[in-house]
Amino acid sequence: MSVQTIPVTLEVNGHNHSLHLDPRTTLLDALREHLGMTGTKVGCNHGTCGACTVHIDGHARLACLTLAAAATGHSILTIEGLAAADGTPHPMQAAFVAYDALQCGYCTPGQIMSAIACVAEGHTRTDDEIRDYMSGNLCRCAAYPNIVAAVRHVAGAV
Amino acid sequence: MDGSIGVPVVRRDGAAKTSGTALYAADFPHADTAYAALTTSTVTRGRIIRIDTTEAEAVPGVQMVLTHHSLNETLGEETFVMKGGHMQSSFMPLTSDEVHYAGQIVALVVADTQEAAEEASRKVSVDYAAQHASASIEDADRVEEPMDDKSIDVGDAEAAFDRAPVKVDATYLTPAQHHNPIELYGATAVWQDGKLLVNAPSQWVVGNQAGLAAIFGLPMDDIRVESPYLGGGFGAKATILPHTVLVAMAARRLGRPVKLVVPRETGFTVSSFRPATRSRVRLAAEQDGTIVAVMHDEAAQSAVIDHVAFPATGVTARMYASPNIRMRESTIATDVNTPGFQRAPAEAPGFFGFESAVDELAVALGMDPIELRIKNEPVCDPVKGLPWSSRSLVPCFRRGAELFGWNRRTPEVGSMTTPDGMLLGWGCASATYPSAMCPSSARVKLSADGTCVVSCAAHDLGTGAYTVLGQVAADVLGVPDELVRVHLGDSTLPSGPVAGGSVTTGSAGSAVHMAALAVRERLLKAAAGGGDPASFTLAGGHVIGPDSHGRPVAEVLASVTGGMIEETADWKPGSMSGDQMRMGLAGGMAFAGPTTETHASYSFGAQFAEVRVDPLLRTVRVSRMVGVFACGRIINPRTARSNLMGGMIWGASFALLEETKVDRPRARFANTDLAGYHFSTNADIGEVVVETVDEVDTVVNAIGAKAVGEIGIVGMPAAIANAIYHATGVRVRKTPILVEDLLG
Repeated sequence: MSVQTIPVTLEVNGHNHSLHLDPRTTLLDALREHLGMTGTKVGCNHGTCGACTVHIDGHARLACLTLAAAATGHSILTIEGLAAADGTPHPMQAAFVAYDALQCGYCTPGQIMSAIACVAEGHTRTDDEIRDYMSGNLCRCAAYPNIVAAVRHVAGAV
Repeated sequence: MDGSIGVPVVRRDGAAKTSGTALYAADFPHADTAYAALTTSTVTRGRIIRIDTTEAEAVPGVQMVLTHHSLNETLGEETFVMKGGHMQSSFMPLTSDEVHYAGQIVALVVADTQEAAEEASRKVSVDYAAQHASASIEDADRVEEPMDDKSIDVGDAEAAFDRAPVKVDATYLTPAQHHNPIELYGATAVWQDGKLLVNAPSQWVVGNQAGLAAIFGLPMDDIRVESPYLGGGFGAKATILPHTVLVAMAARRLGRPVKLVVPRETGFTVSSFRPATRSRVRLAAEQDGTIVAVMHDEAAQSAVIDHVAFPATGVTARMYASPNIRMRESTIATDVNTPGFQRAPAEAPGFFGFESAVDELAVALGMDPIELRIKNEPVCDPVKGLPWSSRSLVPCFRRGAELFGWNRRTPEVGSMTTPDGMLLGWGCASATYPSAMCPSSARVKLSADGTCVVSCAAHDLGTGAYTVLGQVAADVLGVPDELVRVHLGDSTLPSGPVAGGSVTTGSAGSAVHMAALAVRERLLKAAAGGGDPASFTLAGGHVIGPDSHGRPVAEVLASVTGGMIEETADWKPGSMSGDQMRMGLAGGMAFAGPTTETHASYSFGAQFAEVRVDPLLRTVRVSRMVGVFACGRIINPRTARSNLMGGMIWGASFALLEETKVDRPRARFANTDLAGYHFSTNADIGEVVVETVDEVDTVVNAIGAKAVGEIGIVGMPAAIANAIYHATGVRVRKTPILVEDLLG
């Protein structure tokens, strides 16, 4: 017997993808396992680590707690969609490299997606505000002070 | 851009990691992949008396359910890493009906989709005959087993302690902890033409390759372990985890790639963890602060299925110049998955107690804790009398005190406050980490297009190896950073060491250095033609002849057959035998040092913490940390700083947050997810200042690099506990230090 699926259309980084998915499939697994977009990472699958952070309609959201079917009709942005058309990295990607705001790099895509939202939503008036906002994204290598520096830099440049 | 040794070169893998293109183990695409999920034991000790997979097999999409009945296959000889093998444990799940710990794998389900595999894994029905079990070293029925071969006796410490006027005798506890790298455990196995490819996050691709070859009865060349990036390891991903073997078996039977991503909760029991410890520390001194006796008795958690120990006392014994030292080690076996290496396995728990006790001694003496440490600085190794290859602990303390502003500290408890009424505490502690080394191979290729390619089956856990190892070659060959390429984390590359024991830079770096020197020698020879190569030098991308005439390196290389020069070197630590080297290069555990016949080699550091304690609520914030370290030659100050900083934050996490709680009546870990197991978030961490002192070590290895990766954590827990004492007058002798420990 094969798995029962439903049709799901996802708009990811400006492109529409039509898929047939087990209705229980999360947005995270749809991206990683069905679309081959593995830049979004899995760290806990229950909303505690932030590694799977993507933007849905411009807001930072956890892809592991979002069913793919529920993301239909919404605009999804992932780490793969940040660079400019000519390949120039997004300023936040560049700042993470410049401030060494990563070590193993596994939480980094999620950190960057949250960091962009942090700046866009204006939670950057103080370092403590940045620390608070960014605390939904765990970094076990503990690049935290460098992450704060990268966010502060981008916020200052905006 | 100059990419040589000492330059803060930007992380070579930064672009791949920030763009989402870096491939971690679970990111490799393999066509027609089937998905695996695990069923784990709900009892701690006993036997499986019935296992029914009917309902699981009926889930649409399920392809296979492996249990101890259906596995039914004899594996090749392999064993626990500390018995000379490569496995995380001696015990292999699904090879019998035995249950040795809660959360042990009892079935592996494979299905067409992740969702079907997970559903089916919950429908495997198991009945157990459970027996009494114990998962805590504090349980009354547990027995301490001494490890006599780890005892250290210098002079007569007991007698000196009895006679001394000032003494400290206290016992300190640290709990079980879990690594919890953000990347989940997992493995993908692909068989093709009888050969196995494994994508699993690995700190030891060659060791994994050797172990899997033994298990499957294949030559090493038929196994490839590929792990170019891993999402944090911290010691957890060095050995072969049992599920990797099961996934490979499932893939072979199914004739399809099989991928397993282990859920966070299950990760607490299918891998290793940092065992709990209990340290009794006794220190004695004359009134002037001269230490006359050092005694440290450590008892650490082990497993019933495997005897494991990471003795700290062999390291704490190296800290102070006492004529009398007595160290004892013991283990306490519990019904748990086999404990393993976790960042500074011996030192992090051991130094919490030891360096807290040194602070207690300073208080008892009415002496400044830095002055006490400096007064007792040993000129040579206090145990064997050997000279240090380098030891700059005192300069670390002097510089750290300056950076921290230690001279503004008033020693009386509770004497410092912040303008908003918080109690301010300032504490410090010493840190050290042994500079051991492993044999390593490396290949360096210099091509006419100007590129330099470095290849080694070593690993970058985020520690900076991709950047640092390239710098070593660039330094020898004068290649600009943008033309350096580094390949790591693949067992098809020349053999590299386990990324453990902080050995990578010193070991793989020495191999890269050796290979690069060989390339340079051939380059100069080619330039010299029939002349004397010794009269040629390499500078600024040119080979300079005796007539001071420079020829571009590319031009020289164009005249060489193939247009490139490639050399592979096998490097071993000076004190290691050739046999040991060959064993290590073939995937065995081969360590030399930190103590050889002539020298003792350790990195050292001075660590400082500022805490702010709410006088009413007793909440603790670490507002400032300062660490100054002496780790020999720093190849890349930028990545070294991040590595040391990460270690210090681990230390803060150790002090205030981390504990795998044990449900003692049910004999299992209780808080097995990231909602229950806490480690530092961004908001927990204030200012972190990291510096290194210049240190030249001509003994430790060819490039003078000592251990960096683990020392950052070592002194931090005690520094924070000592700061909390300074703020509150409460001496907490266990971690994590919680609000309730500071009440009353």
